[in-house]
Amino acid sequence: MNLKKVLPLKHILLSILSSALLLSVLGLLMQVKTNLYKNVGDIFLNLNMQTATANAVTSVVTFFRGIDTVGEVTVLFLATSGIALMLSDTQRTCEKVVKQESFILNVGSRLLLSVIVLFGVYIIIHGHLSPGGGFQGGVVIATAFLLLFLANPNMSLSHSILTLGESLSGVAYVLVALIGLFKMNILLGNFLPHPIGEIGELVSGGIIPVIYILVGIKVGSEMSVIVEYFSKEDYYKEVCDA
Amino acid sequence: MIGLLILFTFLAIITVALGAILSKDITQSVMLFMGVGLGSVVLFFIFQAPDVALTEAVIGTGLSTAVFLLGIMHTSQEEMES
Repeated sequence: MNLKKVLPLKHILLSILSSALLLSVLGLLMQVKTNLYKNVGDIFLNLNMQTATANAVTSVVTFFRGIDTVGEVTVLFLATSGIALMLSDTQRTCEKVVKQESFILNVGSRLLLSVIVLFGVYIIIHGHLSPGGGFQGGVVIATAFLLLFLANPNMSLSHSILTLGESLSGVAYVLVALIGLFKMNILLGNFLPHPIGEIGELVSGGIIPVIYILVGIKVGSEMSVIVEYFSKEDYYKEVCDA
Repeated sequence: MIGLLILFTFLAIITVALGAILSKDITQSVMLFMGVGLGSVVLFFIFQAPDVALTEAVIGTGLSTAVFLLGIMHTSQEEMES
């Protein structure tokens, strides 16, 4: 009688539905056999010898599921375009006012910038040998630029160079994928020589290091543009108000 | 021993996440959310996924926190001015 007031019908139905879903998921989990030699990871590990990369994750990301990486790059490009559309107003045409900046911060951030960018480049070009790759290294480079923007308020990047690098690397990535399609009859086919004896060397794995370097340039420039828009918005607003 | 470390990390993640939800100060909340990312970096590394750990450390802990803090900085300034 009073139960309907305390617990509305909607809540009861929702709880019944969620418990049924939970039970079905539990039932599915109980059916999973702990057979370690039949899952998809081991199939990929066995196939990893084809690509001759020391890091098996890299061969999955750029070769076996390479089309997913193309999708991720497209998503990132769309996100950058949206942020640029939102945050870059006509305010950018206002005249610049030089802000006061600290000498110690300026020099220290410039010193650190080279080290961080070097680490990012290391992560990118060792993507097929050790953990990491184009995405991670690109974001590390972008954090170096974030440090630069926080330390020097008057700093600004050349957008035309960044956009050029990003577009060229994106086009080159698609071209590499299409060359693989024409030469090997599969998208992102590994058309460069990749002998299995060279596994673990810096130049090995065919097109996989090339793809990671291209993805690194693209992600690094896109993330730098995003970081600049986010840290500069306030600056341009103040300039225009003054 | 490694099981104890995993258990401790899980407990720390849950504690920090609850703190991030319940905290009144939004900057404090973002910093605690960074702690969730740090705990998951440790977990990914223990479970032998160094690639995912590196991605989480760079994006989840580094860049997203920076973007959150920049956003908070700009919006709170506007609120104070108006």
